[in-house]
Amino acid sequence: MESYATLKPLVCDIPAPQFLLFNDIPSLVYISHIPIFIMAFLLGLFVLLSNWNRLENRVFFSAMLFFGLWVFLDAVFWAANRPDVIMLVWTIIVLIEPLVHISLLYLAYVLVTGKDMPFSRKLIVSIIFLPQLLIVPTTLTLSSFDIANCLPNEASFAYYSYFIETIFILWLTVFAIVKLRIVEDARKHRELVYVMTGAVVFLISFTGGNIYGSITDNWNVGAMGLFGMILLAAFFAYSIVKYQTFNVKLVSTQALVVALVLMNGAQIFLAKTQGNRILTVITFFLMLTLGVFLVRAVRFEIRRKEELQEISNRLVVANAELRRLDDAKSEFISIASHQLRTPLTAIKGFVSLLLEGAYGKLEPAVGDTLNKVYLANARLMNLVENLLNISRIDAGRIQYQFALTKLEDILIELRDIFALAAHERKLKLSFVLPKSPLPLLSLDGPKIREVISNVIDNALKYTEHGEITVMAEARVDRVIVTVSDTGVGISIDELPHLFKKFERGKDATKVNVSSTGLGLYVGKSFIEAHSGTIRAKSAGRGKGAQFIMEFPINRKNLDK
Amino acid sequence: MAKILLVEDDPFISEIYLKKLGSSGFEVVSALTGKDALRTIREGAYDLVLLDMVIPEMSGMEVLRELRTNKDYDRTLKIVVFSNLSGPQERQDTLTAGANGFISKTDFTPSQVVAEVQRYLDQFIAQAQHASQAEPGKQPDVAVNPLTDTLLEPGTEKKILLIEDEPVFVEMFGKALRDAGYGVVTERNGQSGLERAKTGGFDLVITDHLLPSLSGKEIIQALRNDAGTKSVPIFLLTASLEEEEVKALEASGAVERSFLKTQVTPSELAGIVKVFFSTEQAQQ
Repeated sequence: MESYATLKPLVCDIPAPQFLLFNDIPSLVYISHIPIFIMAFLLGLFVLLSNWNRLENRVFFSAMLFFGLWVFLDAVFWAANRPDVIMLVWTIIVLIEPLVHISLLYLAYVLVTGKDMPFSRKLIVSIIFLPQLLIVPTTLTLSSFDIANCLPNEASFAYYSYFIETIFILWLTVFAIVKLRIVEDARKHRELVYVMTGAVVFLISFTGGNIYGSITDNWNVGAMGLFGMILLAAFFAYSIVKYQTFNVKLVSTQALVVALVLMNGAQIFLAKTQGNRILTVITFFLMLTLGVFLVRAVRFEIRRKEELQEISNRLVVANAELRRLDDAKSEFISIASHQLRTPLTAIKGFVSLLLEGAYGKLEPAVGDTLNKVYLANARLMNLVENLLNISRIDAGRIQYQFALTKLEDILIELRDIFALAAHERKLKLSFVLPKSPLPLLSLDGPKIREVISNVIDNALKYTEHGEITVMAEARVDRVIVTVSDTGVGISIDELPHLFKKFERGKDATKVNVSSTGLGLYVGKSFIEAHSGTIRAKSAGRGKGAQFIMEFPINRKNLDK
Repeated sequence: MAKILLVEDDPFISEIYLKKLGSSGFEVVSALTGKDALRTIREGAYDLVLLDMVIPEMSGMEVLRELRTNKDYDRTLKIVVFSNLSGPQERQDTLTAGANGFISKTDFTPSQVVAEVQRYLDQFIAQAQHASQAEPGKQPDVAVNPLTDTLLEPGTEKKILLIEDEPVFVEMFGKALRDAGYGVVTERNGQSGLERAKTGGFDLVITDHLLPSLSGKEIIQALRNDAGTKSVPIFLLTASLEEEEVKALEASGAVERSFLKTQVTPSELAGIVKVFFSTEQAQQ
C-alpha cells in the first residue's frame, strides 16, 4: 500500500470507496448491487441448506454463488477508482459470467429429467466454455484501459462470452419447451413452467444488460439487467412455496418474512443520512429476529398439522382394513351358513320321508327317535338361519316392510304366547296397556314382534321368582315399551356389552344354556332401523332388569 | 279341517291351547279328565287326540291302554302324548302302549305346538298313503334308481321336470313326487334343464334358482318367452339367499309358486303339487 501511495498511481476521477464500497454519491444502479447480492446469496444458501443431499439444490446454490460473486465483483468495479483493480475485477467477472448460465442449464436438466446431466452434454458445455477459459487472461479480452471513462477497452474476443451465453440461453429455452411438452403430471408441469420461465427471463435480462453495456459503454443502463434476479427470485419462491421445488417446505409466511427483511435491508443502502441508516439497521435486526420467531412458530404448527394428518391417514387405512375384515367375516358366515343349510335341509327332508313311512313302516321306537332327530335338526337349522340373519344385518341386506301397525295387537299376541310359559314357571306375567289406544306406528310388524318377544323370553329365562311386567305408554313423540323383571339382573360391567354380537349375561349359562347371545344384537339392529332405541337398566346382580324400547311417532306419516 | 281332542285338566293351559289351535284353523274339543276323554272319543270321530299324562280320575296312561285294548275304540285313532313327563322311559312306555307320537309341553311354545300338531297330521296322512300303496304287493319304486328318470308313459300320469343340481335334493324331492304318483324327469344344470323343458310334454317344471350354467331366473324368463312353454306352470324352489330376486319373480307372476327348500318337506311339496293339479283341473 505504501509503495502505491508513493508511486501516485493512476486513478479515475471518481471518489475512492468507503463504508462497504460506498462512494459519496450513491447511484441507484450501483446501490442495487448490494441487496441483489444478498438476495442471490441467501436464496442459494437457503435452498442448499434445506436439502444438502439433492443435486438440484447444490446446482442452484452454485448458480446463485456465481451470480452473487459476479454482483459483488461488479459492485467493486463500480466503486473502484484504480485501473488495476478494475481490470482484475473485470477479468474475473467475464470468466465467471457464463458459469451462471451453465449452472442454470444444468439445473434445468436435473429438475426436468430428475437425473444428472448426461456426460455427453457436460462435454459439449465444457468444449464451448474452454475457449473462454483460455482467452480471458489474455489481451484478446481487454486490450487497454480508458482512464477518461474509467472503463477498460474490450478487445474483439470479449464478445465470445456473450456468444456462448446466448447459446446457453437458447439451449435452455429449447430444452425447456421440448421437455415440458412430455411432462404428464399437471402439477409437475406447472412447477417446471414457473422455474424455467424464471431462469430464462433472468438470464435474458442479465446477458441483455451486459451486451447493452458493452456495446454502448452505458453501464448505468446495462446494470439494470441485474434486476432480472428479482424476477428469478419471485418465480422460484412461488414455485418453492406452491410446489415444494427443491423439496423445500417453505410456506408463504417464510417467503413473506424473507421478502420483508430483504426490502428493509435494501433501505439501509438507500438511507441518505447516517441517523436514518442506523435507525434502519435497528428495524432490520428487529424484523429479522421477529421474523425468525414467526417462521419458527409457523413451522411448528405445520409440523403438528402434518403429524396429525399422518396419524389420521393411518387411521383411515386401519379403519378400511377393519371394515374389509368385517365384510370378509360376514361373507364367510353367509357362505358357511349357506353351505350348512344344504345338508341340514337334506336331513330334514329324508327324516320326514322316513317318518312318513316312505321307506317302509317304522317301529314306534324308531319313529320316536327319528322324531327327536327331526327336532334337533330343526333347532340347528334355526340357529344357522339366525347366523345368516346376522350376516345379512352386517351387510345391510335386511329388508324392512313398514306398515302402520297397532302395537297393542303385537303385545296381546305376545301375552297369549307367553302366558303358558309364565304359568308353568310360576311367574306372574302382566301386560299394562294405556286406556286410550296407542298411536299407530310405522313398523315392520313381524320384526318388532320378534324383538319384543325375544326380550320377554329373556325376562322369563333369567327370572326364577317374582314377576314380569310389560308396559306400553305413549309420549308426545314416541311410544315406550318397558319389560321389567325380578330376575338375576345385570351387573354394571356387563351392561355395555349386552347388545353386542355373541355376548350374553354372565349367568346366562347357569339359567339357560340354549341362548346364543344373538337375540339382543339382532333386536338392536331391527329397532335402530325403525329409528328407535333399546337400552337396558339394572340395579345390579339379583335386582332384576328393565329393557326399554322406544319407537318414534312419525306424525307426518300418520297424517297421510 | 282336522278335528282335535285336547285332554288337559288345567283350565288355564287348556284355554290357551284351545285358543291357539282354534285360531290356527283346527276344530278343537276339550276334555278335562280321563273318563271325560273316553266318553268324548266314543261320541265323535277325531283326527288326533292330544293326551296329557297327569289327569284326574284316570291317568293318561290308563286312558291310552283302554283306547288301544278295548275293541270299542277305533285302533287307528291317532294319539299324540302331550306331556311334561318327557324322560326316555316315559316316552318308551307310551309308545309301547300304542301312542303315535309325543309332544313335550316344556320344549315348545304354543305356536310351535300348533306346528308340531300340523306336522304329525301331515305325517299320519302320508303314512296312510304309503301303507295303502304298499298293500297291493309290489312297490313300483323298488327298482327305480332315484337319480335317473322315471320312464314316462304317455297319457296317464302328470309329468314333472325337476331341475336341481344337488343330488340329495334330486333324490329327496324326486322320491316324494314319484311316491305321490307323478312321472319325474330330472336335469342337473340350467342349460340342460331349459333344453329339456323346451322339448315339451311337462305338466309342471320345478326348478332351483342357483344352478350351474343358467340360473332359475334365466330359465323362467326363457320359458316364458318361448311360445311352446309360455303357459307351463313353474314352481321355484330356492335357498333364501337370492331372496330379493325370488320376490321380484313371484311378484311379476312368472312363477306359480316359490318355496324355500329349508322350509318345505318333500311330502309337503308333493301335497302342494297335488292340490295345484286338482285346482287346475277344476278350473278347466
